[in-house]
Amino acid sequence: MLKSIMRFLLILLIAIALGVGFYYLVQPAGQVSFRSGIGNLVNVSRDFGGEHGFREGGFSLTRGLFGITGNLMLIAVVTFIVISTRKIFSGKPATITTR
Amino acid sequence: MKSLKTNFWLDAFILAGFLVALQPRMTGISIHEWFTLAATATLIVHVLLHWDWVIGITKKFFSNLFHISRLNYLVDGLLFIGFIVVITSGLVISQSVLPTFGIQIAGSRSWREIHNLSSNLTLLFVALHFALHWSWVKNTFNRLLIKPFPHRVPQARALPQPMNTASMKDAKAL
Repeated sequence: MLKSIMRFLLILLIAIALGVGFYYLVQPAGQVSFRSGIGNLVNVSRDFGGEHGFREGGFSLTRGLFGITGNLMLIAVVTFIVISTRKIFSGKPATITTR
Repeated sequence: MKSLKTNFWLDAFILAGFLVALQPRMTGISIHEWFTLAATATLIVHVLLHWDWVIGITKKFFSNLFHISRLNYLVDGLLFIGFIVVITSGLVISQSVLPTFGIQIAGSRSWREIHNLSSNLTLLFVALHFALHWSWVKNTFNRLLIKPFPHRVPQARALPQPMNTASMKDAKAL
């Protein structure tokens, strides 16, 4: 159990290190500003209204479902292509018929 | 069997969660951000469950190795990097998670573009990852969801019944 937790922390640490590295690679200025106080929970509860635009925090279930369907279709197409390609190059010898 | 079940259901939840996370319009920005951040933990658990495979292939990567394993390893590595870029850029343009902790980063339009591009590329890598593990998905699906419900067993053929006296008489008459 302890081993698993240590591994979990190791992967998390690697991910954070890579993420921070990527951030400073793209934005060397590193414009981070800290505001005093934790717990600006207004932002969490603000976005539940469906009547707002997306940028204002609104949402649309129908559009989301359409998007998910599209992504699933993409996954299906890629899977089909990969399986077909693997079948073509699987290198199975052709069936030999004898008299 | 237990680990197979755990793997299968965890992977199914990760895939479903990833598809939902890719559609912030479906949930709104706040839920999108908090949900994705929470889902990161499940991704790490996924890697943990395959820890031995990762270590084994890392050790053998440059030696003689079956090519599909190497391809899997490359796709998985790219997937890992893709997720890191998605999460980092998502945090930079965050409107809900970081402000909650009192942190504000001057995210720009470029970061938004990076976030969109990396999430689309990550979707492609997820599709490749799924495709490369298709046989496992198919077999496990069959084993866990189809086989537990056995097909209707065809009724046993009727055994020949002993003839009663009346039918024996009929037979003799014939």
